[in-house]
Amino acid sequence: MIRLVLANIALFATTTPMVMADIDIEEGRQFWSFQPLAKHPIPVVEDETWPRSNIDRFLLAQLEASNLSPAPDATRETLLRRITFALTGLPPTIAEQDAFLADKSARAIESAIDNLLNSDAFAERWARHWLDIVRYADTSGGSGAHPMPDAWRFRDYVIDSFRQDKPLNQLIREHIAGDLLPFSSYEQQIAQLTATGFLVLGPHNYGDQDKELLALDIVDEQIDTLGKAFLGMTIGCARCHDHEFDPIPAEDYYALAGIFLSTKSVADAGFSKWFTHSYPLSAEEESEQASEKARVAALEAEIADLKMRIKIQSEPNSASEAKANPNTGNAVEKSDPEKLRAELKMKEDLRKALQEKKPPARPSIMGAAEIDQPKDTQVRLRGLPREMGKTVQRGFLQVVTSPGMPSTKIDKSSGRLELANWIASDKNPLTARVLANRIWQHLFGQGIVRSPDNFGTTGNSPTHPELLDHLALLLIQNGWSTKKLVREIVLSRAWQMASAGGDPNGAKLDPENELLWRANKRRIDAESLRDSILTLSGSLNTERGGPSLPPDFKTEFDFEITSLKRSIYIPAFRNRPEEIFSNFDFANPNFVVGKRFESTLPTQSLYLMNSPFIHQQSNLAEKQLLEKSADAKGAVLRTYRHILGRAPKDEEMSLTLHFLKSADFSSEARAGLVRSLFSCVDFQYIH
Amino acid sequence: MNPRFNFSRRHLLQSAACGFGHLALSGILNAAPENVLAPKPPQHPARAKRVIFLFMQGGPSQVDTFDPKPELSKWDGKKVDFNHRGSTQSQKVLKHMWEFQHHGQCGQPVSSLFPNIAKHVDDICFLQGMHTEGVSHGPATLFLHTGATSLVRPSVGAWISYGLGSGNENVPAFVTINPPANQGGPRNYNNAFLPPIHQGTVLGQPGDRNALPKLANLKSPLSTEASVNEYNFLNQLNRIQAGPRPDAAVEGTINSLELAWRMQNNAAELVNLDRESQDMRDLYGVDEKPTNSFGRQCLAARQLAESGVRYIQINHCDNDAAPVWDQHSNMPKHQELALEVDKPIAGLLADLKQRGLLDDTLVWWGAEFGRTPFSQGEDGRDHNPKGFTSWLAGGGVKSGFSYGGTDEFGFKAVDGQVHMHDLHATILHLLGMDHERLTFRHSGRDFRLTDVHGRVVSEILA
Repeated sequence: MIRLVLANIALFATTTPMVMADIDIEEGRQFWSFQPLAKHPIPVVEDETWPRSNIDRFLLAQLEASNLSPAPDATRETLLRRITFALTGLPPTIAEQDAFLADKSARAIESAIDNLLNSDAFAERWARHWLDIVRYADTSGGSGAHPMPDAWRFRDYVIDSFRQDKPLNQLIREHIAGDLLPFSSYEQQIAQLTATGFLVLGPHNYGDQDKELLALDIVDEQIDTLGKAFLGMTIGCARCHDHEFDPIPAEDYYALAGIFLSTKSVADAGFSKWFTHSYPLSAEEESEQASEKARVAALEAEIADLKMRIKIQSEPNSASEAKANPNTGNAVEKSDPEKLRAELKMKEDLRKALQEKKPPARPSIMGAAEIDQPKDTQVRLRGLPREMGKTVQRGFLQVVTSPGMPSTKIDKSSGRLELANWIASDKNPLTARVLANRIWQHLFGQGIVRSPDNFGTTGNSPTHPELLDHLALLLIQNGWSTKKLVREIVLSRAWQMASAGGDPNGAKLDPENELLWRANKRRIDAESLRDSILTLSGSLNTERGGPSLPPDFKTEFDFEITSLKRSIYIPAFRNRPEEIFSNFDFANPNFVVGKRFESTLPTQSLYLMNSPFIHQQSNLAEKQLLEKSADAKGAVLRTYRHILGRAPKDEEMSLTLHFLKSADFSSEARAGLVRSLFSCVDFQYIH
Repeated sequence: MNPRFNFSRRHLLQSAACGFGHLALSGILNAAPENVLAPKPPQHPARAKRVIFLFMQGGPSQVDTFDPKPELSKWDGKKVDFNHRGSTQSQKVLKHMWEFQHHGQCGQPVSSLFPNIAKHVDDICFLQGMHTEGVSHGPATLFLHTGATSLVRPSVGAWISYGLGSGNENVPAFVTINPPANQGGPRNYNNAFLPPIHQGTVLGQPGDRNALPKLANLKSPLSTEASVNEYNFLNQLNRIQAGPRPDAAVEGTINSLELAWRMQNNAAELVNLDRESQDMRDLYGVDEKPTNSFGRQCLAARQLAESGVRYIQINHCDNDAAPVWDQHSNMPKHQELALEVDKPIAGLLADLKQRGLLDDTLVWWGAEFGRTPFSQGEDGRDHNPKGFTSWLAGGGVKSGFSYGGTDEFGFKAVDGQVHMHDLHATILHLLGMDHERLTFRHSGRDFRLTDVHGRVVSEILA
């Protein structure tokens, strides 16, 4: 029953800590994801002939314990297509297929993998995975659609980072505190400032007139995003009350909030905007500016000198007596006063021109910076911006803080750098696990933890906890290198299994394939679909990087995307995704999306059958592949290899020839063949 | 319908087979299952053939719409201990912001937010003791749609599609217009472990309540002959590639292509608001602000109902972190939102009734939860899953009826409680299905929409 109390009890409300039930942090630490990473012994397996690596041993041990056996190896054609899509999001070319199939050596797979890892396409593909979890977009969202014309710098920075194989913990460090890190080059300085764009890229309601609420909402989004993306923790839940499921008291939330309230993220105005850094000067620009300054200084001296000479000459007796110039000590020469005045005017004009010359407009970099006086903040009762509870020291999550971790002491700075180092620490039990799981999931289709953004008690438990620790430790030992972990995983025998067939008991004993008794068949994702089609039709614009939005961009709502660059360079809109992206489950850029949804809808089939884009591209591809061919069979063979990465089966060949023949090999039918290959099961799935 | 376009797969395969006898088409034919969306008989006599669900994302306030409480005025501004979310603090009561009046023969109170819906109270069955799971939008929205707060489970519409098939093999059984893009997004209309064909087909644009409720790419740019040949070719290619025992995902892709083809040839008019008279458009508030967008959705829902779609969800939602009806501050915004939906919903009820469709169409109005009777900040209200109002109309429920109620403040459901599981069970019952027998075997056990819960609320059955 509801208990009525007197109104004046409310007086005490603001001084009462907001506690529902005490959270026992020590007990909370017992949960698997908060436990330190452990080095587990490599399991002994019965069938020693199967494993190629320790990854295989961890998987096989669990399969054997469940009386399941691994599926046979995938065929080499299937494998090459799988590797190429997984690493680059693009199909293998006929030349790559020929080279791979011809190379019978044991190193064939390794060298194919190494080539792909070193390609720009790898960086674009894996940067896109990262952009999904940092909710990258080119417009603001948050009930608005304001263009963010400089967001692309952040996207290009992420691509560059994956191209260089920057350690993932360094990437995170730069995202959170890049402006505070030392740098040894101009490029590094720019990159690190750009990295802090992470903090201000979120969907925010910048039009909110309650600036206090806006500030808290932005901080909330920052905490929520970095919690899910890097720690697999839904910290945002603790804004209004202690976390209901995880050991995160509201105090921890406001300890983090203090850090971000001590950070400049917003440029306040009637209609606020994200904070921007002005683009730093390069060494040449700096010396150019210094030399201009020196020129102005020299002019000033000359002007002073001239003025003095004019003054002396205009004095009585000046014409007869030579006087020492007090500025120079030299005797003043007699000159024509008119000439002197003309010279003075010329120099003054020149100085004015130099002083008025505006430096060219400097680009801006979205990002965050320190405020002048960082300070702790108070718990907001029930999350209300002006209902203050007790003040909490800036700090991190208590449940993840253990001996050996970087210091949590925050003094005069905001604490962002300390937070960044704490998340990026080898000793943080969450970060390496979360990242290793993400890499595994992108390669296998399912994570070892199937809720990649939630490693808390409401998330899924790991299917292979020891293997997850093994991978996390491997990641750390290899200097947090994405490429090395990817390489290790794709070289495992487990990753190279076939996706069809396999143990007849598998479907019964493990229908979800949690134990990985075969490879997961993967649906082609939105970007791979578009990028492949553009590549196969020959119309892909291979330029990399640069602004997403044209200079005259107004709004996303009626913007028509005509760019033929890879999908990562296409503007990501917060309210209105491009048709092909929304049809094929592109990540919603308003949220951290560790795992995309995979839908199967008639609207997708309608898009593939009838959309102008598909018709345009299949017409172009047809002209390249089939138009001038006298040898129908050869053309069909080439078309299948080009699009599906394999030769047609006999049945497919006769069906295809019949289809073309019955339409007199019309261009419409040839384009129809291409379209059908774009739509068919073996294109839509990566086997 | 033009019979020339009424191709079934079997037809096509047979006609195509004439051209090249060497292909082992009989194998393909045997592998091809019948249309998985073909209508299935209900388990018991059904009272409704279809459902139209009007989703008010974010949670409208029950105490400002259909559940007036005099105590709120009496205690306005005073502190009361509600033990809200386990908090030991007292909360400041916030009175109704809108005036209530009794309406119709039944005398149901409705606030001035919904003057048009108020005219239809004698056709409505109010569930005033609703309660549910999940205190934040994500889990509660998923629970509303799937009966689970965090596990991936099929949506109500997917279960109905699975249980009954489509009323017309040329249209999907489950359509959702401008669905939420957040708070679970596609999971709210997903099929989970059910065959993929039962997933909700999206009309319009997720997260944009102003998008036109239409289906893109429904027309082929090719001649009829060329498009038939091409479809035919693609379908056979798929069958070859899928092999004799395709897995669920591949089978789903093939089924969805087949459905797309049937839609293309038969459902070009699935939603076409242009064919409606001006009077009809006016009834729904189409062409006028602020009702145009939701009016189009309601009118589209009626067309979909006529065409045989079993489960039509229309959504008053957006893509913000704070959903449309989520007034933690600024409750007066309810006024603006109510203006967008009141006339279109009343128009839909009137139109269904005049066409005789209300008899076998169940209309469901509701949200993931309600709001608190006390304030958040100056003029906001917090989420409240403990007590709120949803309503049903038509399709076998009592009309002019109010069932259940909340405590004196409108906070907790105290009598005639209807849990979201109970509502799900009741909806399935009205459609002729037993929620305990509508099961799907997955991972070694039988799953249900209502898990191990749910009670058919027989008190509200007509």
